[in-house]
Amino acid sequence: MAQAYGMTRSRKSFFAKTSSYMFLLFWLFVTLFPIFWMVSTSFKPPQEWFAWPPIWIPVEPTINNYEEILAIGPGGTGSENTKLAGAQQVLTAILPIRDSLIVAIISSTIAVVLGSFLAYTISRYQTGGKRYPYILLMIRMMPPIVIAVPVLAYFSLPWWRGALHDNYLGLILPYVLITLPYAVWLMLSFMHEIPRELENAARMMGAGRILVMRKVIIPLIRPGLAVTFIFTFILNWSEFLLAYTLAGQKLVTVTVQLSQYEAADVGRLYGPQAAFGTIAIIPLIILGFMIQKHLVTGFSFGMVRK
Amino acid sequence: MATPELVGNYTPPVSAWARFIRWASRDRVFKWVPFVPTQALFMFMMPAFALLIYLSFINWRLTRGDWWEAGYYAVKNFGRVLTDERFVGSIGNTLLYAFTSVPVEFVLGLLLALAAQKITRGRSFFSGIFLVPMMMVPVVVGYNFTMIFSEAGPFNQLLSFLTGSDVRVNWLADFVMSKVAIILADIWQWTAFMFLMLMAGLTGIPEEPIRAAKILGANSWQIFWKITLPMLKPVITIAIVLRLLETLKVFDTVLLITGGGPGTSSESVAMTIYKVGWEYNRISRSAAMALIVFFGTMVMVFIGFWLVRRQQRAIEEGLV
Repeated sequence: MAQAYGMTRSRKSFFAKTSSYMFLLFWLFVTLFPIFWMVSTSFKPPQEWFAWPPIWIPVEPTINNYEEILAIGPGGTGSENTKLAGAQQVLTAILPIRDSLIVAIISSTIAVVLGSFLAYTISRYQTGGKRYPYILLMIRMMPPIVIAVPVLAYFSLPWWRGALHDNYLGLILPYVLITLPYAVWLMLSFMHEIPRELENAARMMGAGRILVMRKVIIPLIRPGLAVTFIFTFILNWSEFLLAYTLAGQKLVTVTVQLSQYEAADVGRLYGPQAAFGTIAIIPLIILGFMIQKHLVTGFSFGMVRK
Repeated sequence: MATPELVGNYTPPVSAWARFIRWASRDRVFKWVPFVPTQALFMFMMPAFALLIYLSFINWRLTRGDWWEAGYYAVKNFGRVLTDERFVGSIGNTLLYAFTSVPVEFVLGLLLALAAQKITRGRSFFSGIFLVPMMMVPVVVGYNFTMIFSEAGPFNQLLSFLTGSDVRVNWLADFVMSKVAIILADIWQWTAFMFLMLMAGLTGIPEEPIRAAKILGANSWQIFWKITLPMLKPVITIAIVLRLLETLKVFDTVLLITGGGPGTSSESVAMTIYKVGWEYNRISRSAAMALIVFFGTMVMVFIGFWLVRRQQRAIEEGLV
């Protein structure tokens, strides 16, 4: 009897385990398929983009798509002597990547420095009151289009039009504004882990504020700083709406350029777009895996921790 | 020769910088050091929001000179906007996207998290791969789904395989399927978020109550409904609220997958505001829409934060 009970028990758990694996494998396939499709398309020659039945693995693999987008034509618009039939020119990926890097790195750095400092004073002195972090978070919850409409008019005022309209600074300021809440909340959750006694002990032994910051706080939150930087970098790199509305003529970011292949009148350039997409997500995936353990913390603003 | 007093009391000259640092490191001053530049940034951006109100009362187009020269238009913008079927429809669409994709994401995420708990090997492998969509650029996700749902795409191939006939439909030109594609893109990208949050919640559940319930003869179904789920409540609330508020902002995938089409049937609010403002140049009208959306979002955010704060307190007090 006992043996039989054990048997159904183990059979049941075997069934549960197998179905679990099946379900996880199913989702694994679902997750990987669009990515696989993009990478595969990026190696397809034009005649295979729209072939029916769809071609899963390119029959005549080519790196032409990558060559096209990595070329810079006159005026920085892209390769003019394209080999793609029907297309006058293929938009370049180099300049957007440069611009995106500039904007994303500068605004993430500002957000992280300001955010971690602010998180420190919030957690130690309650600067700004108890509700301050929530007020910050509210900025993040606003749809970016609500920010974009007035900011467009505001930045076109003659006093600073040259510096802010369709220019680096004009994107960096809103980016700092919308990533600062993330930085503060993430750093707050890291700050809470530093025991206050440690600081007090250092202060008691005569260390000044600067020394305490340099020798106690910063070494302890360094991983947190790295995570926050990577996280805000990912957000800024993927940001589309503000880059599309506040900039887009002179200053073209990666996401804006990516959307342009879609709107081109010369037909859909699936190949170059897929190649560009592949290039655009590789750094993010690498960075994401580096902070894998902290992604929960990041996306939940530090409210849920592993 | 120096007098003994002078030698004994000698202090090195203090530079202005050092004095500044000493001043700034006093508690009273120090706590405002990062606060001031942050507030300065807000102060700089604040007039923009006052401008939003102003813009919604004038008649300005992007192509017609500068906004400070545009004429007063009273509340006509609001009248136009509130009777605009397109705007009302886009609000409906946004709510539809949020309230269909988030529950599906939640159920899928919960099932995945439970499945990942059951298995013994490869858990970190699976969760590692599952994370990838979250790190994808939304624009890239958008056109990935255009490729998949295109006429010669793998979705049609799958349908042909299943039905045995040659299915070649342009799904994105269909009134229902275009919306489904947008929802599917969101589900694809953000189920991992739910999975991650719920995994974190599941690993935080203590074993004792479950073991006790087992000894008392509870079956796994009862344990799930009476113990696991109630204990996950804070995490579930936070995850769903954050996801809902985030989904209300949807723009990138809609623009890339359907461009709002066919017609304007699949537009989200952000998309309508963008199109009216930037493509039809009625920026004042889109300012009126943005103002309405702003207040609507505020209400949602307040409700959401209220829910989240309640659960956060529960986490902090160790009730869970």
